Amino acid sequence: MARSRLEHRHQTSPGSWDAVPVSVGTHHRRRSWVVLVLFLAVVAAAIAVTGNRAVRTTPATSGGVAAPAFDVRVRVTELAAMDNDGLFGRRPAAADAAVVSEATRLVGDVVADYLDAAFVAPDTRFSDQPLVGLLSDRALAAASGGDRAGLGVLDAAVHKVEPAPVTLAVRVVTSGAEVAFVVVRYDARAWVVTDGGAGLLHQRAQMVFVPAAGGWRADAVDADLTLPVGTEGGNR
Amino acid sequence: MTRRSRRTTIGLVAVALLTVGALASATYGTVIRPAYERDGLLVVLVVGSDVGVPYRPGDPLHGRADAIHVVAVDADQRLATVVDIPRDSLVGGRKVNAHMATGGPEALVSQLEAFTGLTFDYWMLTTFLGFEDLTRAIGGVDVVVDVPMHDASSQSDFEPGPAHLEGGSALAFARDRHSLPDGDFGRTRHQGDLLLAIHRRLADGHEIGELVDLVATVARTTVSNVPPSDLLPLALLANDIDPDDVAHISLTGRVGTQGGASVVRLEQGDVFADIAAGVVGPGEHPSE
Repeated sequence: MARSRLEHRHQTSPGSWDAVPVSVGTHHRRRSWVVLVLFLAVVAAAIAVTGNRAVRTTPATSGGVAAPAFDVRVRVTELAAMDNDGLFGRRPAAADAAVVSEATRLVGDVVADYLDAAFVAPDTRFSDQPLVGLLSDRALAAASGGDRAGLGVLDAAVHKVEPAPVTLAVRVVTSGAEVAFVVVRYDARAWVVTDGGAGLLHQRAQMVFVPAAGGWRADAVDADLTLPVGTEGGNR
Repeated sequence: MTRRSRRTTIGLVAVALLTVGALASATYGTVIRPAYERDGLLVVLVVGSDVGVPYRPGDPLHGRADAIHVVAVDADQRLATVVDIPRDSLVGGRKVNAHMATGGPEALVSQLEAFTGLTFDYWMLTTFLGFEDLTRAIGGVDVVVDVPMHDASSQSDFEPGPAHLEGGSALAFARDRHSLPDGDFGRTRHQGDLLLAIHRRLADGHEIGELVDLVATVARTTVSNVPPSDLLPLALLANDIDPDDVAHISLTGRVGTQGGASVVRLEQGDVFADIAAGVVGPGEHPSE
């Protein structure tokens, strides 16, 4: 059986040690227990106020201090073709650089407008209005019956937003001289001030844009949105 | 406080702060996918042409249809059936593979619609080169070789067992009939095996960006009458069908002759009638 350090001292250093009323070993164990209990209490409290609950609380706050818009940059990472000319022994038509540039610019504008409308503009942030300019008709229809919180449609008591620059990594798929798909990946971040304090908003998204009647629109979306405590977010 | 207990305390406090920081946020996810906007049965004719660069220069759309497969999909239930049709099958008074040579894919579709009673929504065609490129681009396919296959004509060289094929090896597996005890019936069945193997690769849990890459790959290596707006929804539908929910029926029949040519009089039973009635996917079929 292991001996406490005090017990060992009693045996090796008699005299003054015998007068020590509380052992060093015992004092060490008691302090560790206190810290552990405090730690568990903090964790329990944190769990109680956070989590992925979908709770409808107060409506989104309108008004507040206007914030700068997202600074969106576009970086074309890849250009791919879907032409089958090779099966016929023909050389595929080269992508029209001007068409590619225009398509990526327009898609960049759509994403920038969405980010500002979804997270910055006081009258539209955290509502479903920004989705109209972002999603294709069939994507809107698919979204209306499901969870849209990852795109920012949720109750959020946000008073101030300070967005960070965003770079869109873009893959362009061409068909002949035209652009068939534009695949966009981005991480958008903003510092937000909420009822509960301040923290980081982070949206990570991948979207597939197609040409539509109203311009380029996202036909498919994967999006995750992280909000700080106090936002009191919930699905709409 | 001793040094050890001080370190322990600092460590516990640090872990507590990190944990609180990590928990002090909420994450929401959204996934939106364009649905294939048609209910009920989707029927696609998948064809392999024997014409195409570099092997046989010419117009692939007017070659002989040497691989013919009917793919029926229940888009609601996410079930599918692949039916293999031997190329020498007697359809419309002649070998089925000859119709495309004289009238293109639409003529072949027309004859098969009359023969099967099905309505084809799309046709999709590839060549030797397209098939090689497709299997290479998707990282190969996995099949089980059932008999030793060593044939100079097709350049097959396989021993029985699992095999990972791509490019030339996939094409050799699809073309060899000399190694097989059931000849062209076996070859047709192997082609169906490859089709299912390709689907297994396509249905392998891809994120949306990867699916677009696959759409581009399939588009680059095939010719079809699929509208561009349907490409992504169809890819998503294929991605959403569990390979275990795909039935594989390889038709055979009686070998005979007509006009001096070897033909197959198919014994398809009620396979196509079942499909027309919506009986798609694995499980007991009324005709079996």
